Amino acid sequence: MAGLVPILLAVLSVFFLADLIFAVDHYLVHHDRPRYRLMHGRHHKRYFGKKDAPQLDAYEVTTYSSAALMLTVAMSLVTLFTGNVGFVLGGLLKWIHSLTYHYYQHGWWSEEKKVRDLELGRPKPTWGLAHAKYHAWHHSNPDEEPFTYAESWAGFDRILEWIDPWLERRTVNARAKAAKAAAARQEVRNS
Amino acid sequence: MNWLAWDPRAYLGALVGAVAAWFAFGALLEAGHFAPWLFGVLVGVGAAALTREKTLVRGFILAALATWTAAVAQALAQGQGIWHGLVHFHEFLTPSSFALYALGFAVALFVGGTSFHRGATTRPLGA
Ligand SMILES: [Zn+2]
Ligand SMILES: [Zn+2]
Repeated sequence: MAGLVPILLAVLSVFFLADLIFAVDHYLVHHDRPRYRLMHGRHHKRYFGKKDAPQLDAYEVTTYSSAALMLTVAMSLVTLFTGNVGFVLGGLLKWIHSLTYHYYQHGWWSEEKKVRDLELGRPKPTWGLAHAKYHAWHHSNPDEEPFTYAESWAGFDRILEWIDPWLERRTVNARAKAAKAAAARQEVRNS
Repeated sequence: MNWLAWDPRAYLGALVGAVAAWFAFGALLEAGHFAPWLFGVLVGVGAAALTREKTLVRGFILAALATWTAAVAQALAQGQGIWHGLVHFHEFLTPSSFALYALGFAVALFVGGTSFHRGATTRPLGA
């Protein structure tokens, strides 16, 4: 069995890695119209209106849980192959973190007040932890600066903002737009 | 919404593959061959033979389950109890045994995530 320090380091690295994957994937979903419509858009649409469902609806619980379960299963293998129990522990803690984080934040939104009515204001583009107010901004203003895709370390959003000019051109939406423009140019040439 | 690409046919095929691998692994071990990759290969082939859906999500889950089953089979074969075998699993690992496990994982991931049927559909991520 590994010592306490390696176990803690393993837990932290799982959090870091998981949030990196979640933040990048979250950014990509927001730049992929078909995928956004299929799943994630539902999450945002619901917070534009009045509260009409439990704090975490079945869709949200399954989405967060299946992502977290995949992570935990992967980390259980890393624990098996390294003997460091911190990896699987990190996966389980990240699971609890995801659910409680959203459950707590979604509690701010009620039948009387939509998320926008809370007037929480634009969060500061911090390099610290992504707190609940930070995430609330994402619900109501997903396409506005600052980026608020991250779940635990806001620094990932700052890095995403920095590489956005490069990354944006490679997303599904940008490619679709480029293909459309190319087709239009071809049309003009043919006519 | 479907939890983790749940598809009874795929998991039934995987279960049949795992049982076959369990016996084959034991028989080969008696003969002096260590073949943990059998689990990944037979689990993947079993799933792909029965399912009509392709999804890497399922492939990943099957790959993890196949790897765990292989580790349990190895732990039991060592005869010091399943817990002891799993806790000390990493101490018995050598580069070549790790490669055999990785091979099984990769086959289960890609074969277990596909379908041998023509006209199989691809399940979108998250659906
Ligand atoms: Zn949320
Ligand atoms: Zn979002």
